[in-house]
Amino acid sequence: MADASAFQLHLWTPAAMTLAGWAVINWQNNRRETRKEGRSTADNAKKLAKDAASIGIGYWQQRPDNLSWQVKAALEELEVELSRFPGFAQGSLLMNQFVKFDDAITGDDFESAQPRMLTLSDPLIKKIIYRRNMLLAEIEREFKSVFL
Amino acid sequence: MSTLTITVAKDFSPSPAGRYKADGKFPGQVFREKLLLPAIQTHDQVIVDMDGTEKCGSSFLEEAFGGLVRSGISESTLKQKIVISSQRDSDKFRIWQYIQEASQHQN
Repeated sequence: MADASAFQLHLWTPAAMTLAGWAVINWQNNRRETRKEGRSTADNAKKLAKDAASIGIGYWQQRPDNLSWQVKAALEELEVELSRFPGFAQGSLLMNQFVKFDDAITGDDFESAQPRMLTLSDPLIKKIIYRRNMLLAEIEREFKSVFL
Repeated sequence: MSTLTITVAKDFSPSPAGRYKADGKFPGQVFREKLLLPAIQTHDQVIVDMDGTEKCGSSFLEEAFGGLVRSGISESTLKQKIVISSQRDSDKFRIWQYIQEASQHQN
Protein backbone atom coordinates (compact mmCIF):
# COMPACT_ATOMS: atom_id res chain seq x y z
CA MET A 1 0.00 0.00 0.00
CA ALA A 2 2.78 2.34 0.96
CA ASP A 3 4.46 1.54 -2.34
CA ALA A 4 1.27 2.44 -4.31
CA SER A 5 0.95 5.82 -2.55
CA ALA A 6 4.57 6.65 -3.09
CA PHE A 7 4.20 5.66 -6.73
CA GLN A 8 1.15 7.99 -7.20
CA LEU A 9 2.98 10.83 -5.49
CA HIS A 10 5.92 10.24 -7.81
CA LEU A 11 3.56 10.41 -10.80
CA TRP A 12 1.77 13.63 -9.83
CA THR A 13 4.68 15.62 -8.42
CA PRO A 14 6.06 16.98 -11.73
CA ALA A 15 2.57 18.09 -12.84
CA ALA A 16 1.87 19.73 -9.49
CA MET A 17 5.20 21.54 -9.55
CA THR A 18 4.55 22.72 -13.10
CA LEU A 19 1.18 24.10 -12.09
CA ALA A 20 2.63 25.77 -9.02
CA GLY A 21 5.40 27.29 -11.08
CA TRP A 22 2.91 28.57 -13.63
CA ALA A 23 0.78 30.12 -10.85
CA VAL A 24 3.77 31.92 -9.38
CA ILE A 25 4.92 33.25 -12.75
CA ASN A 26 1.38 34.29 -13.63
CA TRP A 27 1.05 36.14 -10.33
CA GLN A 28 4.40 37.86 -10.85
CA ASN A 29 3.43 38.91 -14.37
CA ASN A 30 0.08 40.30 -13.20
CA ARG A 31 1.80 42.20 -10.43
CA ARG A 32 4.32 43.61 -12.87
CA GLU A 33 1.58 44.74 -15.25
CA THR A 34 -0.40 46.32 -12.41
CA ARG A 35 2.72 48.13 -11.27
CA LYS A 36 3.38 49.40 -14.80
CA GLU A 37 -0.19 50.66 -15.11
CA GLY A 38 0.06 52.30 -11.70
CA ARG A 39 3.32 53.97 -12.70
CA SER A 40 1.70 55.27 -15.87
CA THR A 41 -1.27 56.62 -13.90
CA ALA A 42 0.99 58.31 -11.37
CA ASP A 43 3.19 59.86 -14.06
CA ASN A 44 0.19 61.08 -16.02
CA ALA A 45 -1.43 62.52 -12.88
CA LYS A 46 1.77 64.37 -11.99
CA LYS A 47 1.97 65.86 -15.47
CA LEU A 48 -1.66 66.97 -15.29
CA ALA A 49 -1.07 68.50 -11.85
CA LYS A 50 1.86 70.50 -13.19
CA ASP A 51 -0.23 71.61 -16.18
CA ALA A 52 -3.12 72.67 -13.94
CA ALA A 53 -0.76 74.66 -11.70
CA SER A 54 0.76 76.37 -14.72
CA ILE A 55 -2.65 77.28 -16.17
CA GLY A 56 -3.85 78.41 -12.73
CA ILE A 57 -0.86 80.65 -12.16
CA GLY A 58 -1.32 82.06 -15.66
CA TYR A 59 -4.92 82.89 -14.82
CA TRP A 60 -3.96 84.79 -11.67
CA GLN A 61 -1.20 86.69 -13.42
CA GLN A 62 -3.09 87.76 -16.50
CA ARG A 63 -6.73 87.24 -15.76
CA PRO A 64 -8.17 87.12 -19.27
CA ASP A 65 -11.89 86.51 -18.85
CA ASN A 66 -11.97 83.39 -20.90
CA LEU A 67 -9.29 81.50 -19.02
CA SER A 68 -11.22 80.44 -15.92
CA TRP A 69 -12.89 77.63 -17.86
CA GLN A 70 -9.47 76.33 -18.89
CA VAL A 71 -8.40 76.26 -15.25
CA LYS A 72 -11.48 74.26 -14.32
CA ALA A 73 -11.11 71.93 -17.29
CA ALA A 74 -7.49 71.19 -16.33
CA LEU A 75 -8.49 70.41 -12.75
CA GLU A 76 -11.33 68.21 -13.95
CA GLU A 77 -8.94 66.25 -16.16
CA LEU A 78 -6.57 65.82 -13.25
CA GLU A 79 -9.37 64.55 -11.05
CA VAL A 80 -10.37 61.96 -13.63
CA GLU A 81 -6.81 60.61 -13.60
CA LEU A 82 -6.53 60.67 -9.81
CA SER A 83 -9.80 58.75 -9.51
CA ARG A 84 -7.94 55.73 -10.92
CA PHE A 85 -6.17 55.42 -7.57
CA PRO A 86 -8.13 53.12 -5.26
CA GLY A 87 -9.70 54.94 -2.36
CA PHE A 88 -9.68 58.36 -4.01
CA ALA A 89 -13.48 58.61 -4.12
CA GLN A 90 -13.73 57.62 -0.47
CA GLY A 91 -11.73 60.63 0.69
CA SER A 92 -8.15 59.39 0.79
CA LEU A 93 -5.13 61.57 1.60
CA LEU A 94 -4.78 61.95 -2.17
CA MET A 95 -8.28 63.43 -2.41
CA ASN A 96 -7.41 65.71 0.50
CA GLN A 97 -4.30 67.04 -1.26
CA PHE A 98 -6.16 67.42 -4.55
CA VAL A 99 -8.89 69.49 -2.90
CA LYS A 100 -6.33 71.74 -1.21
CA PHE A 101 -4.62 72.21 -4.59
CA ASP A 102 -7.97 72.98 -6.21
CA ASP A 103 -8.77 75.45 -3.43
CA ALA A 104 -5.43 77.21 -3.84
CA ILE A 105 -6.21 77.88 -7.50
CA THR A 106 -9.98 78.41 -7.54
CA GLY A 107 -10.62 79.83 -4.07
CA ASP A 108 -10.19 83.42 -2.95
CA ASP A 109 -11.74 85.70 -5.57
CA PHE A 110 -11.47 83.30 -8.48
CA GLU A 111 -13.90 84.42 -11.20
CA SER A 112 -14.42 87.74 -9.48
CA ALA A 113 -15.75 90.67 -11.50
CA GLN A 114 -12.94 92.78 -10.03
CA PRO A 115 -9.89 90.65 -10.56
CA ARG A 116 -6.54 91.26 -8.95
CA MET A 117 -3.46 90.87 -11.10
CA LEU A 118 -0.87 88.95 -9.14
CA THR A 119 2.88 88.80 -9.44
CA LEU A 120 4.90 85.63 -9.04
CA SER A 121 5.92 86.65 -5.54
CA ASP A 122 2.32 86.95 -4.37
CA PRO A 123 1.46 84.61 -1.47
CA LEU A 124 -1.42 83.12 -3.47
CA ILE A 125 0.92 82.08 -6.29
CA LYS A 126 3.36 80.64 -3.77
CA LYS A 127 0.47 78.74 -2.20
CA ILE A 128 -0.46 77.22 -5.56
CA ILE A 129 3.10 76.04 -6.06
CA TYR A 130 3.29 74.69 -2.51
CA ARG A 131 0.01 72.80 -2.91
CA ARG A 132 1.11 71.47 -6.29
CA ASN A 133 4.27 70.06 -4.71
CA MET A 134 2.33 68.51 -1.85
CA LEU A 135 0.01 66.87 -4.38
CA LEU A 136 2.93 65.56 -6.44
CA ALA A 137 4.46 64.05 -3.30
CA GLU A 138 1.16 62.45 -2.33
CA ILE A 139 0.69 60.98 -5.82
CA GLU A 140 4.11 59.35 -5.51
CA ARG A 141 3.42 58.13 -2.00
CA GLU A 142 0.09 56.70 -3.08
CA PHE A 143 1.69 54.91 -6.01
CA LYS A 144 4.29 53.30 -3.73
CA SER A 145 1.66 52.35 -1.17
CA VAL A 146 -0.80 50.83 -3.64
CA PHE A 147 1.30 49.43 -6.43
CA LEU A 148 4.63 48.43 -4.90
CA MET B 1 -40.62 64.03 5.27
CA SER B 2 -40.56 66.61 2.48
CA THR B 3 -37.72 66.40 0.00
CA LEU B 4 -36.68 68.86 -2.66
CA THR B 5 -34.13 68.21 -5.37
CA ILE B 6 -32.20 71.15 -6.76
CA THR B 7 -30.72 70.21 -10.12
CA VAL B 8 -28.06 72.88 -10.31
CA ALA B 9 -27.52 72.64 -14.07
CA LYS B 10 -31.24 73.08 -14.85
CA ASP B 11 -32.52 75.13 -11.93
CA PHE B 12 -29.58 77.52 -11.74
CA SER B 13 -26.83 77.21 -14.34
CA PRO B 14 -24.64 74.56 -15.98
CA SER B 15 -21.75 77.00 -15.46
CA PRO B 16 -21.98 78.50 -11.97
CA ALA B 17 -19.14 80.92 -11.39
CA GLY B 18 -17.87 83.46 -8.91
CA ARG B 19 -18.67 84.33 -5.36
CA TYR B 20 -20.79 87.46 -5.09
CA LYS B 21 -23.70 89.01 -6.97
CA ALA B 22 -21.33 91.55 -8.50
CA ASP B 23 -19.25 88.73 -10.02
CA GLY B 24 -21.75 87.68 -12.63
CA LYS B 25 -25.11 86.06 -13.30
CA PHE B 26 -24.62 82.76 -11.46
CA PRO B 27 -22.41 83.21 -8.39
CA GLY B 28 -22.47 81.32 -5.10
CA GLN B 29 -24.24 84.08 -3.21
CA VAL B 30 -27.20 84.06 -5.60
CA PHE B 31 -27.40 80.25 -5.56
CA ARG B 32 -27.47 80.28 -1.79
CA GLU B 33 -29.97 83.12 -1.39
CA LYS B 34 -32.36 82.22 -4.20
CA LEU B 35 -32.33 78.43 -4.09
CA LEU B 36 -30.44 76.74 -1.26
CA LEU B 37 -31.55 78.75 1.75
CA PRO B 38 -35.27 78.81 0.87
CA ALA B 39 -35.15 75.07 0.17
CA ILE B 40 -33.51 74.30 3.52
CA GLN B 41 -36.00 76.49 5.37
CA THR B 42 -39.04 74.83 3.81
CA HIS B 43 -38.03 71.19 3.36
CA ASP B 44 -36.78 68.39 5.59
CA GLN B 45 -34.30 67.20 3.02
CA VAL B 46 -32.65 68.98 0.11
CA ILE B 47 -30.86 67.00 -2.55
CA VAL B 48 -28.35 69.13 -4.46
CA ASP B 49 -27.67 67.43 -7.77
CA MET B 50 -24.44 68.69 -9.33
CA ASP B 51 -24.56 66.43 -12.40
CA GLY B 52 -24.37 68.29 -15.69
CA THR B 53 -22.57 71.27 -14.23
CA GLU B 54 -19.15 72.43 -15.24
CA LYS B 55 -16.66 71.94 -12.43
CA CYS B 56 -17.29 74.69 -9.89
CA GLY B 57 -14.55 76.87 -8.53
CA SER B 58 -13.95 76.81 -4.79
CA SER B 59 -15.03 80.45 -4.67
CA PHE B 60 -18.52 79.46 -5.84
CA LEU B 61 -18.89 76.39 -3.62
CA GLU B 62 -17.48 78.03 -0.51
CA GLU B 63 -19.76 81.04 -0.85
CA ALA B 64 -22.81 78.90 -1.60
CA PHE B 65 -22.37 76.29 1.12
CA GLY B 66 -19.96 77.81 3.63
CA GLY B 67 -22.18 80.87 3.40
CA LEU B 68 -25.09 78.83 4.78
CA VAL B 69 -23.24 78.55 8.08
CA ARG B 70 -22.51 82.28 8.04
CA SER B 71 -26.24 82.81 7.38
CA GLY B 72 -26.99 81.11 10.68
CA ILE B 73 -27.63 77.47 9.74
CA SER B 74 -25.66 75.10 11.94
CA GLU B 75 -23.41 72.40 10.56
CA SER B 76 -25.48 69.74 12.33
CA THR B 77 -28.68 71.00 10.69
CA LEU B 78 -27.01 70.95 7.31
CA LYS B 79 -25.79 67.39 7.92
CA GLN B 80 -29.39 66.35 8.57
CA LYS B 81 -30.88 68.21 5.67
CA ILE B 82 -28.48 68.31 2.73
CA VAL B 83 -27.58 65.48 0.43
CA ILE B 84 -25.02 66.15 -2.29
CA SER B 85 -25.36 64.11 -5.44
CA SER B 86 -22.55 64.30 -7.99
CA GLN B 87 -20.57 62.08 -10.30
CA ARG B 88 -17.56 64.21 -9.50
CA ASP B 89 -15.98 62.61 -6.43
CA SER B 90 -14.53 65.84 -5.10
CA ASP B 91 -17.79 67.86 -5.06
CA LYS B 92 -19.17 66.15 -1.96
CA PHE B 93 -15.80 66.24 -0.22
CA ARG B 94 -15.24 69.93 -0.94
CA ILE B 95 -18.72 71.08 0.00
CA TRP B 96 -18.67 69.37 3.39
CA GLN B 97 -15.18 70.69 4.01
CA TYR B 98 -16.33 74.27 3.39
CA ILE B 99 -19.29 73.78 5.70
CA GLN B 100 -17.03 72.38 8.40
CA GLU B 101 -14.45 75.17 8.01
CA ALA B 102 -17.14 77.86 8.12
CA SER B 103 -18.51 76.28 11.27
CA GLN B 104 -15.07 76.23 12.89
CA HIS B 105 -14.63 79.93 12.04
CA GLN B 106 -17.94 80.72 13.70
CA ASN B 107 -16.81 78.99 16.91
